[in-house]
Amino acid sequence: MDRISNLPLSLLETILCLLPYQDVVRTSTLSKEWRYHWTNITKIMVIEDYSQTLNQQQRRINISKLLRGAGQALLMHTGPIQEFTLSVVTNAWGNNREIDCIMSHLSRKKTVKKLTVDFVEWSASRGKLTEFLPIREYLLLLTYLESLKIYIDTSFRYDCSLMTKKGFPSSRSMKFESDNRLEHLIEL
Amino acid sequence: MSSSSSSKMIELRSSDGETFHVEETVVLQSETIKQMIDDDCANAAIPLPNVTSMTLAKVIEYIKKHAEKPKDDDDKKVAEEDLKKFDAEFVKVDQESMLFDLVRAANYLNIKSLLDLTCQAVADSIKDLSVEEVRKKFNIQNDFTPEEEAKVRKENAWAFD
Repeated sequence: MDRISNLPLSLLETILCLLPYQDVVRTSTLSKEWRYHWTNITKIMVIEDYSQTLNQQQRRINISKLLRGAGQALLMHTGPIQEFTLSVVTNAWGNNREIDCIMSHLSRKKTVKKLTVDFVEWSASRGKLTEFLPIREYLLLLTYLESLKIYIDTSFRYDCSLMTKKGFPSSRSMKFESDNRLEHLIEL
Repeated sequence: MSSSSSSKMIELRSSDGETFHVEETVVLQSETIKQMIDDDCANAAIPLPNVTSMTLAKVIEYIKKHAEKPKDDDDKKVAEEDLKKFDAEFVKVDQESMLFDLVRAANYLNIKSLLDLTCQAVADSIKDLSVEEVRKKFNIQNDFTPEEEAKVRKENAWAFD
């Protein structure tokens, strides 16, 4: 008996939303019935597999592959995306071209309400995060965003589920709580 | 507290005809049952045709535990820890089918915290498995031809190493 597939579609999708994107995408090959479930989920988590012990070079290749793959997969996504989480170890992170691509796909969806960016091991010595990542531009693209969370390392997690209810275009006035470290790293 | 002794009892009947008596304050965690009580449809035993007695007993164990109120703030911390441990143990079921029955029951009874807990447990059990392992685990019949499967796989090759 096909136990998990017997769950109603809404429950299957709830479960898929709790898995890393690469696991969700792999379900496309389970069977014909499962072919397109992954293109309908409303929450996507692009998360690097931290459990592998890799050197900097391998890690860089992996992140690049993950981000590029996620960007391609997003092109096939048919349903609305409400929440998007990106979590990578940034000390091995090369450039943001792939992230640009992902953000541009998300902006076309016009449904993304929650964005969480987790840059594990971002090192302050690399300079301001915004020099690598144009967060302000992304915020302008994601017009329906209501919540943004930026995590920089385990000791510093910033949560700004703030915003005016109208969303971000009007949020140029958005206020980060005064925090020197955040200003230094993000400078929004 | 003495209120528990005076709380109204609600009678629930499982699909296989077994009846369970649960305090109203406890059973209100189910939005579905709460709605029935609000609509005054709960004077006789509430039939739950989608939930077996085995599953219902587990659900009641869960909502009873989650209805316990800590006495003070110190107690609250201990209680939270205790509840976490309880939840972790609760989803360690002997038979996997029980986990899916609980997902279905939590969905039908509309108990959000139980639905979150059980869906997460299913997700955790699939995470990091290969496609073949997931099929085996859930008895999914692969109806792709090898060519078709290779084609689907190629579409998202990045997700497969």
